[in-house]
Amino acid sequence: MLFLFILAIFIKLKIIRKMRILYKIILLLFISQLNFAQVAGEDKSELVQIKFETADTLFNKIKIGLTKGEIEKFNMYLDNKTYISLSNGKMGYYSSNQIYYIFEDFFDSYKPFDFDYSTVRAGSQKPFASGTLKYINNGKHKAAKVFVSLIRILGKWKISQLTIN
Amino acid sequence: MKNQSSSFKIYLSLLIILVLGIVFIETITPVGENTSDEDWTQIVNERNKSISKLTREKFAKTEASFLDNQSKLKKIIKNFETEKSSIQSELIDIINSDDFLEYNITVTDSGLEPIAWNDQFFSNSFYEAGIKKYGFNNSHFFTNELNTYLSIIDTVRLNNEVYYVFLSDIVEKHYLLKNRYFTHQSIKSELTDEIGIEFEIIFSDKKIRMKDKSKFLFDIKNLQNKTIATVIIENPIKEFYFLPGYTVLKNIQKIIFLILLLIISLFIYHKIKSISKFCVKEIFLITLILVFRILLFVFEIPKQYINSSLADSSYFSSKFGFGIVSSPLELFITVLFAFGLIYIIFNKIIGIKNLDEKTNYSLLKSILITIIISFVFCVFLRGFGASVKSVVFDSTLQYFKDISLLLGFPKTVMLFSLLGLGILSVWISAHFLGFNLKFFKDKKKSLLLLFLYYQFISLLYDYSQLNPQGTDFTRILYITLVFVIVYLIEIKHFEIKTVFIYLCFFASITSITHLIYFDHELELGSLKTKAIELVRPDEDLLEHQLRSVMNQFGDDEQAYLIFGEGSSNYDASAFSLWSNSLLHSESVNSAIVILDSSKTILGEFKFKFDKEIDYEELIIGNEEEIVVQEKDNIEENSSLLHGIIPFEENGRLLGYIVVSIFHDLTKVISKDELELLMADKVGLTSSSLKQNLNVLEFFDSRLIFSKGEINLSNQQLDKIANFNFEHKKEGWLNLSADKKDYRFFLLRSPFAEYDNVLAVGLEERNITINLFDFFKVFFIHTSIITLFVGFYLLILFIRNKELKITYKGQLLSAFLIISIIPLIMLAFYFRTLTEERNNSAIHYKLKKRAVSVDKYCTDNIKLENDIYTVFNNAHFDLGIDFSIYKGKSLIFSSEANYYQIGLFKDNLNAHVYKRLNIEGYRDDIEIEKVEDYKFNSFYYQTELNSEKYIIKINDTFNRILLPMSDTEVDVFLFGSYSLAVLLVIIISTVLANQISNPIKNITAATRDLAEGKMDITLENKSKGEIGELISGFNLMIKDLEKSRKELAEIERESAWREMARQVAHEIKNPLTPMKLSVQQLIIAFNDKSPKFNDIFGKVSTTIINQIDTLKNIANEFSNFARMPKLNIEKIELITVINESINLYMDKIVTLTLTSNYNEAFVNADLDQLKRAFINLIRNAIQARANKVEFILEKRETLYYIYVKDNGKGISEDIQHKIFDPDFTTKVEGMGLGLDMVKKFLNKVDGSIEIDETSKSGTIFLIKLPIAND
Repeated sequence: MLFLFILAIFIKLKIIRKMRILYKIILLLFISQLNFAQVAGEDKSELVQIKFETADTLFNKIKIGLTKGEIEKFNMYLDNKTYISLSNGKMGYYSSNQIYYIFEDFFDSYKPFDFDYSTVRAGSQKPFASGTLKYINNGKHKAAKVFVSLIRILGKWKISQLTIN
Repeated sequence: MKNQSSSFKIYLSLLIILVLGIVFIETITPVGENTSDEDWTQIVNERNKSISKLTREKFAKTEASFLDNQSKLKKIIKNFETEKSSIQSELIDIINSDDFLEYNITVTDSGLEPIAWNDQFFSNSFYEAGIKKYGFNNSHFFTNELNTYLSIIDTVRLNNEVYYVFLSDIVEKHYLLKNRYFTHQSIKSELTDEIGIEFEIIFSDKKIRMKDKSKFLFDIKNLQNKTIATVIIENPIKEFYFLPGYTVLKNIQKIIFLILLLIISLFIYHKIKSISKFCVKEIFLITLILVFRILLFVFEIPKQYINSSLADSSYFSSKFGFGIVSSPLELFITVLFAFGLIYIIFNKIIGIKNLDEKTNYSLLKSILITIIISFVFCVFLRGFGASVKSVVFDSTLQYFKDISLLLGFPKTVMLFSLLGLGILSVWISAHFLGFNLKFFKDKKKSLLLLFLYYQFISLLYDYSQLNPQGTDFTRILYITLVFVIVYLIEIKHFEIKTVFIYLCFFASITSITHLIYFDHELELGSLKTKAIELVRPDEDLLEHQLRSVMNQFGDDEQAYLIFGEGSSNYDASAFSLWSNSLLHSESVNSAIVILDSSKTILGEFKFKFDKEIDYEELIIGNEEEIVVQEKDNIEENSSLLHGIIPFEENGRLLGYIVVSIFHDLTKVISKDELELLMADKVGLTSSSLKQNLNVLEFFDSRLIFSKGEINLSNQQLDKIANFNFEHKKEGWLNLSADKKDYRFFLLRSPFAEYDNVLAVGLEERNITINLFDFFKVFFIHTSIITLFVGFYLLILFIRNKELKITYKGQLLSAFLIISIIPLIMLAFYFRTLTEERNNSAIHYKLKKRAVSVDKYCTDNIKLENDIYTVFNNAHFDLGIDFSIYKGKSLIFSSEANYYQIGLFKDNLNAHVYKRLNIEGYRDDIEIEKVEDYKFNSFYYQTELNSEKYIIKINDTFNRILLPMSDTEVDVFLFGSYSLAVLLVIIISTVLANQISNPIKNITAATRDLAEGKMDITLENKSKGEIGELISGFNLMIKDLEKSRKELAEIERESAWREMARQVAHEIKNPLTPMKLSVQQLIIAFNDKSPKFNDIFGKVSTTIINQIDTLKNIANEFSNFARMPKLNIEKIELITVINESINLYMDKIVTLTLTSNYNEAFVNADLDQLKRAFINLIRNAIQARANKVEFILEKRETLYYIYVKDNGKGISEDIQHKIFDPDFTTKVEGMGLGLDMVKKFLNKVDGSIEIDETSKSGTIFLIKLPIAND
């Protein structure tokens, strides 16, 4: 809408007519990129609207994501700063954007093929679950213990920590 | 044509080869999957053979390097000649030199008593066993609980006595500390990195038999061909074996594809570059850049090929552009591509006017445009802020934490990218603003008004945002700097090159201010993270961690080996297990205890764990289990869990490992543990000075624990303890203490039943830290900018073979050298002085403690028989941590734990031994290190009960507070001296300007004078010699002008006189015969001559002839004054312009023609038109232009020819006169040039006018009607 409004003003003022086609295209591109640029660097985790989901649902999605090695399945539940500790030595508090790519790299080297929970406590005030992730690394089959806990932020469940050791 | 044909063939051949390559790779890829069993066996054998060869080569290389150093050492020892009494001293110096620091060297006498060492030495029996087993000059491995060494024993003879040299080098560390002090050494890991598979190495000469067919083993032999180790690798699995190969082939395919794309692009570019429609090239380039960047991202190039921190997403990653900036390297590449795009768009395309500036826009239209553009500007500024925020928040790099200027690769690349983002942003913003300014006539006045307006509108915009991406300061600064850029271009008409340098520095300043702001936000955020980290452990997590550790130990061969082969140091074994588990990485309060089958403790390691456990009661069965200690045995709010792991072999119980974890849910802070044992966690405390962090814990409104240097009053403590959280669990609080401001994050206990408040606080940044932060990054940016400017100057120098340094440049350099060098020397002096003072202070404080311990022990030894009891009491009563040595060995330490596990050496430092025992000093201070963790150790000799002891106090366990630590000094010095240097640069520039400007003006005036301009008057504000020079110059100009005018007048008079004389002479010629003829006629008439008729005829003929002659003279004279006749015909304009341009092609001036058309026809006289263009070119050159541009456009029925030069322009007072016939600015000119041009053009229904003129050039506009077909 903003772009159309600006375009209309330019047409009305007969500025566009005087410009060559190319400049019009460039102008269009630039204006259309503005919104993109505005939100590009902003952390989207606050802006994403996640509909109300139970802790169980989150744990299920995490399970699917870990089994298939797809971070997209659960990255929307990451907070601004989430604690992770992985077998490849990455340990600490990272932003949701960073965790996305850290996990992408992690799954490249540690290719998961199976994951299951041994303990799930979804009903408590501090839900957590633990399980075993089976993966292939350097041609060898290995297993790692997984621990994930959730925290309630603004009425929604988010992942507070995720360890794979 | 021939050339084009051959280049086409080359392109085609390359394309075919590349396409074939892609197809070939595609076909061979699945081959591996269809291998038969026989072939597979062969492949496996070949593979194993290859790996064993590579592994042996690696070991051989390691051994060769080791033996080289052995020879070097032996040579040095043998070459020194000294008396017997100083052999020990000399040996200590040699083996403690820098050449051998990485080795463990012990020299013993013939009785195997160590006489010189540089690291941990072992017992006599150990050395004896070594000699017996391995002999001399036979490299071998030996392993203890913490390390595996490559070792060799040698002998050396000095003064007829034999000495043994034991040289060892660590090849494998069995413990792992996840922090910045630890350097991991592992030959296994090196082999894994090189070859890509996992290795198991048994560092023993024992013969190993392997029944497991899934594994392959081979031995490693030393140079004496004796087996020293066995390597075990797993045989590959067919399904996975070919995968790495496929990946490599696929990557090669991607690269081939990219090369293919490049070649096709080159071919297309080659074809289109001759097209005169100029935007086609540019659009093609833009598309190519975008496609190339996207392909690089999709193909993960160069991420796939660079295995370094630059490609590590954990350092930086953002989801902008679908992940196109998912690492520091990707960001850097994207910024470079963006530079290319912006350069093409703004400089090549939008550089030419795109608006008719002659059109007068109404005020309302201009205001509307301004509103729109200012809005766009604000959004863009916000985008820039968001980008910098992402650089900080989506990164684990802490740009200001290290005080060192030598940043690692990722940080340097990120700061380079940050500078790039800043340049792009300021550049684009300046274009927006420049575009806006074009809608206003009075640029100067409009710029000021726009400045105020933009500041106001951006303020409103920011206030309307929920989450502004910057502060008022960053916003105002950014807008101001952008306006300065536009001012320099539009008002001051600075050269683009100069403006670009200003732009780079402004971009650096604005990006750094944003960076500092967001880093500060992150720092505050990290307080919250720290608090959350402290309360993160709970029972569930602890239980999970315990289970994980138990699983790990249960599967760990190392754990089995402890019981199987036994251990000489079970404490070290326990430490090794602990360090390799998540008990260390999670910094869990824990203990690992190794017990034998009868539950006797063999060894233990404790980390922040002081509970006493009765293992007899704890271990009941022989099953693996977790025991949770009952609450009534421990504090009310704490958890104590034990994981019991029994170890059996062939049904026989060997022993137990018990892992204990303790956590107090309401007391999260515990006593500081040795920093060397703490794991570094990303995302916590980004403070540049870690000791500024303050942590306070309150329980039931009482302070139960505090950490940090802050000194709060009771009132302030109450304020924290009774903070009103309202309904939230967290809050922020500002406090002032000791004249400093602090910001605290407060967190309420996660458990409702506990009234626990945790406060984590940091000192607000002061001016010193802000200055340091700013200049640290500014220094790096300046280095980058200087590098590029230097590179550019180098290219200029290579091209022109000379480098012009102006007078101003010389002055500036002189001022800077005179001022900055002393500043730098002063800074170094101050730094050295502070360092010396700090060292003295540390020495003094440590000595004071040592003396206190000495006095206590001396006084109490008389009362207490047991010396160890005295030492223990001294530790508890004085609260000082110390160690005691007798001879070379440690006999007591209040921190025995660290010595027992082997982390700290338990023999005396060899330098200290030499100083105290050989040279006879009373005390000594040494800088020691464990891994890379450095600390000061003070050694003090004492005598107790007639026996000599050495007391050791170090600042690892005894914190020394300095008024200004080395780090603080560096921060202060760098920040404040950088500011001083900047001020020096600014003042020097101003001074250099002031001094050189008058000279510059005189030079310019002299140049004008040489070109004939006489109306020059220099402003004279200077005093002294320069003032006199300027006055003299002005006077000289006036005299010169007067003389030239007089001379010109005289010459003109002389020319007219000459012409008149010539004409008179010519006229006189026919007049004389005419007069003579008439006189002859009169005589004949008077004489009534009979030949009168003849004479009359002859005279008439003569007179008529002479009249004809006179008429000819008059006609010639008239023709001379008349303009030549025009020959109007249809001519091709572009050809005429090109021909005119070609006449000047070998001159200094650059001439170009820009046109969208291939041909343009007009009706005109070819010669006159050419003369008109030549006239304009000549005028431009005479106006000191070095660039003349012809731009041809079509407007309805006319061709518009713009003749644009970058000369000195036409001043306003003469603009209306330049087409007048006798007006000229040149002394020699007749003033006919432009007048003739105008007349000619008018005759062909065209026109000429000045379109635009300023100090940076003139644009003439010629209009000619389009010829009809």
